[in-house]
This record gives sequence, structure tokens and C-alpha cells, in this order.
Amino acid sequence: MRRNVQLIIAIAAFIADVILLVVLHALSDAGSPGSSALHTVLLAVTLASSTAWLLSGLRASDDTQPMQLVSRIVVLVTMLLLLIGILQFAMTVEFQTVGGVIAPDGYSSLVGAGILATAGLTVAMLVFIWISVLLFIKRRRQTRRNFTIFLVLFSIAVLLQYISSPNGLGIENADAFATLFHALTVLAMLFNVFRFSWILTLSRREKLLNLVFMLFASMFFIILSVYTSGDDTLYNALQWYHPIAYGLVSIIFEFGAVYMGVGFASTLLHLPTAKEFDRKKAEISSLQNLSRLITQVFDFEELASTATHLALEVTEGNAAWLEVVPRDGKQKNTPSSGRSDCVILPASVRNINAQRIEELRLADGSPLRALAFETDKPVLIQDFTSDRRIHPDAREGNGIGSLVIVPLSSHGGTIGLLCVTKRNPYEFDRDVITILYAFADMVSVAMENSRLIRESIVKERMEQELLVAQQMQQSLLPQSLPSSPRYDIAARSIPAYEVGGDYYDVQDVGPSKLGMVVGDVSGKGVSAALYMAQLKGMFQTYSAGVSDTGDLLRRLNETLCRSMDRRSFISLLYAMLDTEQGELRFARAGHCPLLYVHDGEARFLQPSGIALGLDAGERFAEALQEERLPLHAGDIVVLYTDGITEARNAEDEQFETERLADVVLSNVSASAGDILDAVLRAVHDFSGRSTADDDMTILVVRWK
Amino acid sequence: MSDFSVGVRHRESVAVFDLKGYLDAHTAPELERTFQSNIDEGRFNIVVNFRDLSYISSAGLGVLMQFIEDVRRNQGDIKLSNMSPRVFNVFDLLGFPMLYEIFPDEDEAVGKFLNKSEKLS
Repeated sequence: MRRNVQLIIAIAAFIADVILLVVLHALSDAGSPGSSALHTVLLAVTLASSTAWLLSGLRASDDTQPMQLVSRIVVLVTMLLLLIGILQFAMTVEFQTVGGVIAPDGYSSLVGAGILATAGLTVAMLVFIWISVLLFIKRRRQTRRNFTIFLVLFSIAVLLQYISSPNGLGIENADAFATLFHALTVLAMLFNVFRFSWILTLSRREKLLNLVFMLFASMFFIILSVYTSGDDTLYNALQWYHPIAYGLVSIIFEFGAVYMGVGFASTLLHLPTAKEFDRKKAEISSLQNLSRLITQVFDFEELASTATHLALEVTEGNAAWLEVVPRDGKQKNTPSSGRSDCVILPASVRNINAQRIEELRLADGSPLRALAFETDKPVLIQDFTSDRRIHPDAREGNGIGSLVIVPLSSHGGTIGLLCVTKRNPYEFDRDVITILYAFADMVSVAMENSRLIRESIVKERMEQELLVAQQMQQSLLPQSLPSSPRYDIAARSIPAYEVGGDYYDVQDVGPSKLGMVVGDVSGKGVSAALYMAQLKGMFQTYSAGVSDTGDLLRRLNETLCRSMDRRSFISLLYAMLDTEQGELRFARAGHCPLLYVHDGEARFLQPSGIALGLDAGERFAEALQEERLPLHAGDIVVLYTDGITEARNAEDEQFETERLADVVLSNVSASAGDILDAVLRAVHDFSGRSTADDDMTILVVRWK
Repeated sequence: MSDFSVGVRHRESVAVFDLKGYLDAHTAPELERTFQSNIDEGRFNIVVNFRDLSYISSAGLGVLMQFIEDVRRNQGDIKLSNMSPRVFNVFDLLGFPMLYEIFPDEDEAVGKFLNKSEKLS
């Protein structure tokens, strides 16, 4: 909008200028050169109107579009040439020279000369400003200095033109100086015009276009310079209009011719490398994008999509896709497993579809990817349509002229393939392939990072779960044990790192009756901890008032069988100490035997019983036997889990029940707590390790 | 770390699984797959030979329990044989001998299946 207004003002000023010129001259004599004061006013008006609106909108900045300016100059100069042609056709513009002073001959010539001179001056000013802007693109320190020198010489040359011209001051001796400074100005031009670094960054297409623009522009400027230099219409019109206008226009047209000529040559020189430059530019921007992508790897699909998008950009390819070798953690990726397992990532497929890709078969009928897995090296098929490795039926009709498959490798294994195709045979040159390999390396890194991040997230979640399970397990164990003058009791459970299924509990189950339970839940982690929680709840509810230990276990089994996974089971030993009678009643549901030490003799008591959860029916109830044991002062009872007896040493031997009995026997007079410590220390010394394979739980009761 | 393998042999109508190595939570899925594929093929007479098995964890026992109901519902059975004393001890403590037939020798276990089918026919 603003631009249009400016244009209208400029045109209006232009027309007013011409009218003013004609009218003022009409008032005097048409054949006279007119007063020089009048012409100077007109000159000032034209210069001001042509430059004012331009300067307001034009500033040399980094986002200046050089091509746009060049094209504008071409349009402007073409218009000027057309105008000159039309005027010469439409009206006779003739001049007479009176004593060297040039003036139009007749009114028609007056109008024509007025239009020509005004138009020429306006165009010249615009051209000058635009070329100046071009000169200041990517300016350096000396750019301003050189341009200032040029401007000074330019001004002197124009001024001398005025001084020497008969239409101006007409001092004859100044002629030589005018010529000298004109020459110096042209010389200064040459120091200014070699500023075409902006051409380098043009794309190949733009360079070609620029070449054409500059060719025409330089040609037109040469024509115009010829027009203005000799005894021609434009020369006469400008001289008559004002010698300063003549000076400006002639030098600017020369300037334009030189600038555009050098520009043309410069563009021509850059043309052979244009394609290469384009590719490098694309490569750099793609690699930059990808390196940014490496840090954004949370969305694997997005990564795959961007990777092929950039691969096409880098190679100027036609179609591309990614295939990956799925990993399920433990499996090692051998070439043979990869061949069958490799899958196309749908998000990555560009300009081709997955079904088409699967239809690309090799001569022996195996899928295309087998080619890459044979050697684990990049495969280049220069002419897809006639390559013998490809099945004859797959060669045609899929828009593939040439193809590259680059394996993506990481830690020595192939994790996937990057495939890029081009429409025509022999389109992949060495450089493209080199770039693609470098690119494939970056894709591999990005994919590997993505995988590692996902794995670490999963691992963290599992560790979190394990931690929850461990905390749960710890909170299910009794915080304190009862004490009594009749007995001495100690218990401890040491969870292994991974497995968590041991459980023990001690609580009063009736008047002078103490219930003690030790169990081992199969499985690990949260599920084991949940069964333990269930078991604790049931034990605390059911045990109250039940004097037959077998009955309690039957009840537990009934309830548990209904809710437990059929692969899971719980081994458990329940013992009830009757402190009044001095009797121990116990039943065993598939658990380790009870160690009973009496009078320096150790016995492992193993009444019949099946683990909880194994059988929901009669068999469990029938098998279960309760045993009753009268206690004597100094008797020791030990309940434990298989983590103790199955603790292994480096020779793969187990701790076994014998060693357990030995430790207890050699500590018969110690307190329950000391016996417990002695057993755990012995297990530790035996296994020679600080961490156990399985949970270890031990409960020691000493009857007083 | 865990090396475990299952070999499957067929003795007439009986499938014999030879277990080898360590059967724990990591390796149990392999035995699970072997059971599943045999059951899918309609083989319900199964003898598990423990001769070369050096260790079994509760996860390994869980596999037997997972399939026993299915197998028995189809007039089949899982019989166990050739256990080392250490492995037998694990089964014994848990009360497995009351739920599964355990034979010292594979031939006996297989023979039991074959006698039964002879009687039936």
C-alpha cells in the first residue's frame, strides 16, 4: 500500500516536472536554452522526487534480496530503452546548437527532450541507489572508504562537466579536467564493483537467472552509455536539461554497465560449482538438523521420519526408508537373525510404500535387505533396472533407477538399514555416497541413543518397582518380638537383591499361646510382596483362637488357592507355642523342616504337608499332619527358609541342614539372638559372599 | 549366566523332555514354550527327565503347576523322572510327590503311560 502511494507520488512529480519545464519554456522562447537558474531548480526537483521515496524504503540490510534489486534494475532500464524508442518514433525530437549551447528545436522537441531528460535522470538515480545497496551487502571495512572516494571523484567529475559544458558555465579550459576526472571516476568504479560475494550463496537456479539478468542489464547499460556519450538525442536532451544531469546520468550508466558486466562474469565463474555448492549447503543444514535431532530422541517415530526426510535432502534422492532390527534385550543381533527380523519403519517411508518395498525381491527371491546383511557393508546398485542381483520382475515399474543401502551399525552390530533411491540409473556419484555414509553414522547414533534412553526408562521403572516391593516386604515383618520369662525369641529376614518372598511373623494367638510363622512365597518383586501382604492379613485374622495348627494351614490354603496365580505357591511352617503346657504344636505346608535341639541332639522334623497353592482339593488336607512336641528347659527350636540351607559357596556346594545343625549344637547354651547371629555368620563365611542369591530368614526360640 | 536347554524326544505316544542346566526365573519361559507347543499339538503324555538338571527354582516348579491341570483334564499326565537327590529334595519338601508321580527311571515313567493306554485299548 505504502509502496503504491510512493510510486504515484513519484509519477506525479515526474509529470509535474515535465509540464513545468515545458510551460516555463513556452513562456520564453522555444529555441532558447532557457535560463540556467530555471534548469537548476528543475534538476533539484527531479533529483529530490526520484530519490526521496526510494531512500525512505530502501536500506542495505542483511535481508536485502540482491536478486530482487538486480531484476528491478533490469526492468527499469528496459522501460527507459522502450521509452526512448517510442519517443523517437512518436515525435521528432531535434536540437539546434547556438554557439555550442544545445537547445530543443520547436515545442515537440521541447516536450520530448523534457520527458527524456527527466526519465533518464530518474532511472539513473534509482539505478545508482540500488547498485549502492548491492555494493554494501556483506560490507567490509574498506567498502565504505572505497565508495566514498568514488562519490567524491564522481561529484568532482559531474561538477567539472557543468563548468566545462557550454550549457553550463562553458569554461573551455575545464574540458580536459572534466575528462580526467571522468576517467578517475571510472577507475574508482573498478575498485568498488568487485563485490559479488552474495552470488555464491544463490542456488543454481538463481544463479542461472542472475546470469540472464546481468547479461541484459550490462547490454542495456552499454547501449544507454553510447546514447548518452555521443551526439545523440539523449545526450542533447540531458545537456540541455542540465549539464549536471548529463554528468550524473552518463557516469551512472557507465557504472551500471561496469557493475553488471563484472557481475555477469562473476556469476558465470560461480556457475560450475553451483550444484556442488547447493549440495554442500543442503548437507550442512541437514547435518545440523540431525545433530539437533540426536538430542531429541524421545519419539522414535519422529526420529525415523526426520532421518529419511534429511537423507533425501542430502542426496537429492527420490525415495527413502529405514528398516530396523528389533531387539528384545538379550538377543544378540547376528546377520542371520537380522535378515529375517528386519522391519520397515512405517513412519520413515518416503515417496514409496511398504508393500512396494517388500516386493523388491532379489534374484533368489529373498527380500532386498538380505543384500546388505550378506556383507554388512553399504550396497550400491547403480542401475537397478538391469542389475543381476535383482529379480527380473522387480526391476521395472517402481520408479527406482539406482539404489543405495547403508547398514546402520552400533557397537559392532547392525541395528538397521537406510535405503535411498533415485529415479535414474547412475545418479549416485561418489560425493553423494560419502555424504550418505556420514549421515548414516549420525542416524545410527541417534537411534542408539533413543534405544538407550527407552531402556534406561524401563530399567528405572523396574528398579522403582523392586524398591516398592522391598519396602513393602520390610513393613510386613514384625517391628518387635514379644518377650517372656518362659522363652527367648529372635528372628531376622535378610532379603536378597532380586528375590523377595520370605516372610515371618510372631503374634499372640490366644491366652498363653504364641503363634510363629515362617514362609517363602514363590516369585519375586511386587507380586510376591502382595501375596505376603495377603498372607499376613489372613494369618493375623485366622490364627486367633485356632489351636490346631493344621486347621489354620488348611484355611489359608483354601483362601489362597482361590486368589493365587496357579504358577505361584507358598511354603509355610506354622508353629504354636503353648507357654502354659510347655508344648509346641506345628504343621508344615511344603516348607523346610523344623530344627529341634534337645539334650545336645539335633533333629529335623518334617511332618507331611504340601505347599499352599499347589492343590486346592482333598490332597492338601489329607497330606497335612500336625506334630506336637513337649518342650524341656534348654530346648531350641529353629524355623528357617531354604535361603539358609541352600546358600552356595564357590564350589557350588550347599550349606545344607547338617551345617545348620552343627552351628546350633555348638551354641546350645547361647541366647536365641546369639544363636541366630552365629548361624548367619556361618552362612556368610561359608558362601564367601556378602550378597545372597535368595532371601534368608531364621527364627530361633529357646525354651527356658 | 543361565544356561538351560530342553530337548524333546518322542517315545511312542509319550513326549520326553530332557532338562539340562539351571531352571530359574530367567530360563523358565523356555520350558513353558516347550510345554505349550506339545499341548497345542495334542500331546498330553509327558515325562520330564531331570537327569542333567542341576538346579530348579520356584519359577521352574511354577511351570509344572501351570500345565498340570490342562494335561490331566485331557486324560494325560506329567510324570517326573531321574531327579538328583538335591533336586528331589526340593520337590519332596514342597510335597510334590503327593501330587506328581516321580520315578527314579525314565523307562518306568514311560512304561506307566504305555501300560495304561494298552489297558484302555
